[in-house]
Amino acid sequence: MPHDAENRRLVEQACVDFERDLRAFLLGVLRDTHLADEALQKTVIKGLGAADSVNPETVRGWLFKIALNEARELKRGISRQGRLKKAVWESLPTGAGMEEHDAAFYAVTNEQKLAVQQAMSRLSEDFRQVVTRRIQKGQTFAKIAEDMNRPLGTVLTWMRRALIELGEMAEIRNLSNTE
Amino acid sequence: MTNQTEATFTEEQLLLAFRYVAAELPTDEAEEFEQQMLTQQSLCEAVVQASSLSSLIASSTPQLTVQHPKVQLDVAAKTSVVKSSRKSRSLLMTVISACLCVLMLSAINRTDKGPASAVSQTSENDDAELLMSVWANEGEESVEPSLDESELLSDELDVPDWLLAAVTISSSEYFADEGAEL
Repeated sequence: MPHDAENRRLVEQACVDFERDLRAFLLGVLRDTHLADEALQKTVIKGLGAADSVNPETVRGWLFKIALNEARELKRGISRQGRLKKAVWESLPTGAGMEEHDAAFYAVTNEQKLAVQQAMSRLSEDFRQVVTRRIQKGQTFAKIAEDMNRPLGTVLTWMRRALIELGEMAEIRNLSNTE
Repeated sequence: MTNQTEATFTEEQLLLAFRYVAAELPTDEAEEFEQQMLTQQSLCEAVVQASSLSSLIASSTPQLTVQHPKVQLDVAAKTSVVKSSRKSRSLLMTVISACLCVLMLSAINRTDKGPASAVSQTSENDDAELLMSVWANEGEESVEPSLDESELLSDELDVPDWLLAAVTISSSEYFADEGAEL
């Protein structure tokens, strides 16, 4: 059926266009690169199988729902292993042990590192401290609040603002728009 | 097809998404958050942003914080032990070489002056100075038999007794056996 073929092409194209965001989403949900890859494959297969029911205007949201369901199904199987207790950045493969496949998606170039460092340098000192301590040093927000002698709510607010500001910075936007 | 973002997220949603990807939410809150994501695309977009941003920041971390401090201490300790060990071995070889040189010189001296005469006090002093200067030159790989007097040790150095004994050993004690052999 022509309509089905058109929908299938639509879904195929959407999988290509949204692959990076889908992978980041699945990595955030599963916090394991291999599981994220597996979930992405299952998402593509299931999406292509259900292409006849897709609404072209909401294909992105539709794919994300499929991805979330696939991820949750995987999580049910491994939740007892404690593999979901780490943060998303702790699950990233390191340069030394990174396989070629992983490197294609998760490796950060020196140019990208520089862009991030430049963006971080433009944050206010308090915001930068909170981000550095939380992500790069792995401190909890409670510990950060204690060390900086600030209420926990203030630290969370700073983190929230820092994430917004970083996301809006040109350096970060350019990284998101490449590929 | 453009990279359409169907729904934007609020600041609170972004922070909640960050805490979710950081594994900070308790199990029941995390499950509730996942349930909400099924009906709120904005939360999914927030997770994308939080995951991407935090991964990028973490990947740009300078490598100074990668190694555990204990590992750094262990490495430093081992390096120090290895260096110290090499230094001691080098020094020992230097001293042994110096002793052999002294003994050879003494033997040559004895040969020149006749087997019956003792090694002169001047020669013994020169030998002592030679060995003491060798002892002072720690870490040097080779022994220089013809060291200058300017390279002599200061008084602070503690020369072991066995080294001094090796230098000042009397000809009667050392050459007695050789005399018997001859």
